[in-house]
Amino acid sequence: MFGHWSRVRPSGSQSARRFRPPRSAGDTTVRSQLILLSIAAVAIPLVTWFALPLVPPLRSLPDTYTGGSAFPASPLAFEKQRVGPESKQRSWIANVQIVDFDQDGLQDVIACDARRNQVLWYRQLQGGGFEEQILGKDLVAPAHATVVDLDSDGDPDVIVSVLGNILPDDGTIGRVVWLENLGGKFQPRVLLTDVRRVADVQAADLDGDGDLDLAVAVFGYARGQILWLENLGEGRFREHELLSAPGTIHVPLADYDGDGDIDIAAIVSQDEEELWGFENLGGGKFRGRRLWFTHNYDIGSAGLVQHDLDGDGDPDLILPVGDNLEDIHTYPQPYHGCLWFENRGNWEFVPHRIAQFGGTYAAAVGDFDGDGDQDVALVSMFNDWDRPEQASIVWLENDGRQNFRTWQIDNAPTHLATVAAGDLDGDGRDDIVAGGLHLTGPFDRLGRITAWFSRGDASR
Amino acid sequence: MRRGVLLLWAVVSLELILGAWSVERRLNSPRPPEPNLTRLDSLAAQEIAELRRTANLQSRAGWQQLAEAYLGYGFFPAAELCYQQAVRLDPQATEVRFGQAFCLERLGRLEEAIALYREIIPQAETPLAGRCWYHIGRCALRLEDLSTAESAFRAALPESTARFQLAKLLLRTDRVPEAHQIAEELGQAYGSDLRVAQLRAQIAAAQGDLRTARAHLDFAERAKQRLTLDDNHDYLEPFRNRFGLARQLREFEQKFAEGSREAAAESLRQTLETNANWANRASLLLVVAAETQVSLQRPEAAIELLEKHFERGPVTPDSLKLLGDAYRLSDRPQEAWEAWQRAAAMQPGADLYLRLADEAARREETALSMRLEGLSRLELGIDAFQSNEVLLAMQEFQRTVQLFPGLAHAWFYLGEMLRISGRPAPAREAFERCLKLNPAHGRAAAALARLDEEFPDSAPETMPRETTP
Repeated sequence: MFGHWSRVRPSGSQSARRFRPPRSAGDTTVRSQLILLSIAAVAIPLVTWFALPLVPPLRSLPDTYTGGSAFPASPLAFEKQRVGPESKQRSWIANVQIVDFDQDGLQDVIACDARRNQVLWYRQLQGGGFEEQILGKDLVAPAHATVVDLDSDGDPDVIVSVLGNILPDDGTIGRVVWLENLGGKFQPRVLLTDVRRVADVQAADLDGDGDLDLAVAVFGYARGQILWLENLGEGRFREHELLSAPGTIHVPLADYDGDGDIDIAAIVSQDEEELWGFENLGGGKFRGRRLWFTHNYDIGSAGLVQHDLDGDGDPDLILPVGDNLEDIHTYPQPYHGCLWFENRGNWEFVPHRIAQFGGTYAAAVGDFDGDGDQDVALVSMFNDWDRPEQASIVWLENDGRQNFRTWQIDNAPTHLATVAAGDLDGDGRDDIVAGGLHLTGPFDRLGRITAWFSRGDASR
Repeated sequence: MRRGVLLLWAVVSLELILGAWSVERRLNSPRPPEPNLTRLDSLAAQEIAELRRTANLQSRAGWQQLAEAYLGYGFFPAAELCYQQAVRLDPQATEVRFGQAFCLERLGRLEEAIALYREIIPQAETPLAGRCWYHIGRCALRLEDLSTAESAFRAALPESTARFQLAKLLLRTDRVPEAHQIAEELGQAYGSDLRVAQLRAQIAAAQGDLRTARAHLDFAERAKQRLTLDDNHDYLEPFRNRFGLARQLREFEQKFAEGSREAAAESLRQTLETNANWANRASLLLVVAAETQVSLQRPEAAIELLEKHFERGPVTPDSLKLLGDAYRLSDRPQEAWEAWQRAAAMQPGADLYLRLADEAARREETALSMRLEGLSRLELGIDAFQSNEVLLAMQEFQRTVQLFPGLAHAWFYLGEMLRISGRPAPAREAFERCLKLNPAHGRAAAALARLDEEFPDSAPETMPRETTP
């Protein structure tokens, strides 16, 4: 290839200076080669440098782990239906309840919308469908609405637990607001202020004087309380502190010890994770006792429901666990799910785990399959939502001996924070309503208020 | 020339071999996991996708960068897989192994996390080793494995958070004297900490010393939180701030703090344009942008931004206050008044009442203005009380009751300040004034009962008149 050049080139540097070989076609080729090779020598590393990232790696890593939960499809058919308008915004529904608010024989839905700062009544219409009516507005992040005839005038009022901020906040921004029913118009009256975030209020005659008093869960954040408010009449209430502790979520009332008066139960979260009972001693006196606690500060107690789950005549407690909201990023944990505290009498409550379900945030009890025993519905706020197959709502089928089997109802909407059970369509089987609290992503399966109507055996 | 060509051929051949080798290595590299980035703001999603595309998958640093990006945004399973690769390439890199253990912990794979933290400890410097022990303790608590938790917290000493956890564990396992000793030591170092005050109250209650317990709880009402038991936020935030909206927000804050408010406003405007539909942050960003416009005296721009915010986000007292400010700046006092009033009805605040008081004064409604100023002073006093500025709080409450003597709640707080300051007699009188105005004031009644118990000699007749508030 280089023969011609080697032949004509004289030896010695002087001759080389004097002798200039004529430019032949071969010279041109060599020169071209030189140029091309020089370009290639520069270009190859550059092209490699820039193009290498475009080369797709082909070796697969193992599948990414998931700690979330999916379950077998429910053998009981549920028909899904939206309640109320579709949301233009990402909804923050903090609470839903099923109640016949206008006492027309049809069950309605009461909802707390923390994005619109409103308490809403979804009145069920004859023949199906729901009509929205605002009961209270400018209530900053309402967490819970309790329907009760507080002034004993024969119509239902609403007591609203106002957080003041849906996000963690330790300021004294909470309130208890009474929406007094004045012939269908609801007049807001502030019953308690200068307290931290209020998560729940329940009403009962706690001091035995014939009127309704209130138990209040001041969730707060780093600080909080459990209070009871003594009804002094004419809309005046005197507060009494039962416990100083942050993170009380719910204060369900019932006669837990069977002595004929109403006691208070409470679930305290935020690092302590304790179940408390306040025994009513009469005359406005209470004896507090810690019924259960766990060293697992991360269990994420998310609510407390009282119901006679085993049908033995005394109220039990159901505890959904799976709240991760304080974490910068949430992830389902193996201990999330639901505990049933069986009331054995004399303030002995025995815990039984009845479900493992990532990110469980709320529970409701009902007889969904119409077999006469009590089942449980659970919703998840923090399952592994990047996995589309994972459940957002399940029901736990009771075999009649309190052995529960988990069935998946749906995987959408995600981020369900509240659930209620009740016979919405009057067919004798309880239905389910749940609300979405879309604070964190992903935002691909949104929903505001959704009902699942129990339709019986899916195989039929 | 021929030699040059030969040399170049050699170079090019070598380059081709190296290139082919690189391509082969790249082809045979593990494919990085691809989490669902659509949940992120569009800029962060784009930047992380680019990082994934260009990461040097033959180096520990490449996998580590990717792992940290995923970790910062909560993609724990993907981050853990990336850390695995980084550890494979550099098994001695303790910070990488710590990252992997952290992922396992967040995924709830607690036994694996504990094992990995244990492996890191012998190779780690003291602070990291202490942190590993602390995390082992926290994982063990989640597993309810108390003996592992206790030994880990003891090994993590003298770390103050570990001491706190140990004291709490001892208290919960009925070893109150040792818990008490540790809590008192913590009290020396972190006397003003909220959690320490709460822990000391629990310990005092467990010892049956209810008076001390109450005193600690009293203090807890005014304490600040200083001990950080959970380092998740501190660990993840720097990773997150490298990308997208989080980085842009930090840049905005920096510009604003440096006084470049125009530049800050412009960068925020661009951020909003890029991320108009992103998550719940977009509506919050609109409020921040409106606030910036108000500070630049551009009320109309602020109003426009707030109207957009109200379309997509909640109407909050803060956003209404800002709307009122913008209206006031644009000389629309009635609209400002209505916005502030609505905000104050939703959530009272000192600055809101002050704005309303000023506006009432402008309207020459003197009595209303005084009342509103009184309410503002009460809120200021409560803020000062909660910040443990007792003297300032006392002054505010005294001024409040002068301006507005019918405000029962102000008398209650004045009584609290006097009680805390060790002046039970005037405190008693203040509580009594409160109860006279509002017999339903439960806190005043409880405080009075407590005075009776703790200061039985502070009966009203012995009270020096000059201290009467």
